[in-house]
Amino acid sequence: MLRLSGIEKHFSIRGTQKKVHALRGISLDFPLQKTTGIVGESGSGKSTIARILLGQYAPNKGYFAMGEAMSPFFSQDDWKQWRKRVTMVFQDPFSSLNPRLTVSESIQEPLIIHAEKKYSAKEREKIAAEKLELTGISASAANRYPHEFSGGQRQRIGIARALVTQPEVMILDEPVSALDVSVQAQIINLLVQLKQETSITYLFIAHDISVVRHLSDYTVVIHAGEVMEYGETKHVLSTPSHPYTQTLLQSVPEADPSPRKKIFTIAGELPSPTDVITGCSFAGRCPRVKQVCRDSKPEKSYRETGYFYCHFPLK
Amino acid sequence: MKFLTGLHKMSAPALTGIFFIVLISIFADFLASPVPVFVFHNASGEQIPASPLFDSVFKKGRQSYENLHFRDLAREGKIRAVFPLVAHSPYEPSLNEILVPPSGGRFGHYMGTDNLGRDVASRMIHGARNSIFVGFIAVGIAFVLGILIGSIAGYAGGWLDLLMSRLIEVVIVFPTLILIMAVLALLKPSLINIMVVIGLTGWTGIARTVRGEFLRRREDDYVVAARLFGASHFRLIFVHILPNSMAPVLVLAAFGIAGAVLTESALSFLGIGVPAPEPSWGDVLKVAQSYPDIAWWLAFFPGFFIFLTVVSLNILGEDLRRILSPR
Repeated sequence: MLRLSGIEKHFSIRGTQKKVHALRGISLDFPLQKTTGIVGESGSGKSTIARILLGQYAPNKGYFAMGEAMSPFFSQDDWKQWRKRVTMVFQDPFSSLNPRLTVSESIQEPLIIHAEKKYSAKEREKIAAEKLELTGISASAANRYPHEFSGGQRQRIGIARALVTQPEVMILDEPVSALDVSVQAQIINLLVQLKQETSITYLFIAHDISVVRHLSDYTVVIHAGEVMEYGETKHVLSTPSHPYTQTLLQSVPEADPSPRKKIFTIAGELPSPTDVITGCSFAGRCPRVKQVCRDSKPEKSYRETGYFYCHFPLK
Repeated sequence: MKFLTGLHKMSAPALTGIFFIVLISIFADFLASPVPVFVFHNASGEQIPASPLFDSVFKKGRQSYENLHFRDLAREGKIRAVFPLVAHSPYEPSLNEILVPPSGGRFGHYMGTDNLGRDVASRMIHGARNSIFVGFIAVGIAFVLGILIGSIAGYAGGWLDLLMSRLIEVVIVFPTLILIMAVLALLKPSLINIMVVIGLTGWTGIARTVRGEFLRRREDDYVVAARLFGASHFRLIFVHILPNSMAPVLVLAAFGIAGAVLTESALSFLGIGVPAPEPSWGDVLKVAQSYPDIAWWLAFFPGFFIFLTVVSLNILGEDLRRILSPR
């Protein structure tokens, strides 16, 4: 279990007392060796979760833990160990590879960092070549530079790099949202295939529900830095309990041209990240809103395989 | 050489020019000297060292070889010898050859002579070494200092950045030439002092550029990625940030060499440059200011070579900027 407990993160704005609340207290348990999708709009704090899990930001409150490792007690060395066990694939395949390193060098980097002298240069090259082949790129391309590859190929390289230390958890921060739709499918299939071959845990961050539906065992729906709903993907996405989940589902455009349905849009916008929210963060946009939603935070309510936070759930 | 294929069409001549000037400064001793390269026989049939020039350069006692007056011996037909391109010493004054205009022929003064009767061509060739040497070493010092201070400021940020940035501004505020003149007035104007002083005042531009690049690159995705894979500060700086920040720095260095050559010339022109009798381009130019209407060659040749060098380095710098910007 990878546990997030009460994680809050806010950023101070220079020259004011205001704070941008990215995460307003997130507690989640990610089951290991499963894929958990994290869904939400832009600005909902999805990526912040990833960045906190890898120590780019320190949370203002709360901690995360996996097995013996507990984040508040991490030393420099613990962080290094942690970053061997938890790796990340980045959203933008064009900017996340150093343009002056060959593909092979980029993939070897985590090995050089973590296994300093365990492998010789030759062995490292061999491992990098294996990972390249594993992600569907010919090993003969190992000595080429990132700009010689397409976006999809670069993302495969990014995945190979994240695989090379044989991590337990791989965080995928919108790994396909910068790619063409046809290439998206290839990358997702690659991820599915890798999942079958290893027992890795995926945390799949996406704003595209259809991608999450395809890949995830569990789904978390996040809104304005708070968890709205959590459960097995098949339940959450087929019979949502939270009105926000439903509106997200309805706003997915369909690939059916005949009846020109109006694409559903969510009324209003995310609450300002600088506001302190007393009630439900979705209250300002919810079609089922009542006064109580604005006044008090909804309690955690359980359903078949998960839970949600809503005063007036759909079922 | 992938690097060479991307050159602009003006870069080929510029590169060739710099290449030649560097070659000339390296081989100055063999290009301009009154000591012959080969001597076949002398008047009295004595055995003479096979190559007096090589011996004079590599062994001690150049003066003793020059005192043999090979040129006069050859002129009088007492020896048969092959002389270097310019068969004159840069130091040797000649009272009956003062301000001689350029002339051709054997032992001619191809670029004339100066107010002490010294051969200008020889002084230009030996001066190239001093001028170029000053340029490269001064910029080398500035380069190291600038990268060091700029990367500390840009990578560390916070109070260290504040401190370094103020330091940079303080140094920028000084009027460089005046500062150099003041320092050289206190110390003695030796070649090393000049290089160090130009280097110590010339690093600010590089430091500011490096700082800016570091600030920009520090949050680049691939740097963040490396950090999240556990890379050390050392690795982040030297594998990821610095190599991607080098392009504008190299451009600045090329311009910097040109600037240093000019500064050295200016100092020599003002009489506090490379100490006499050491030749430098600026030093030849200094003599010209006393004889503007009678000795055009004293101004023309050093001026022309300084111009050529500076323009070449600038073209090269401009081209480096273009080539090194990714894709």
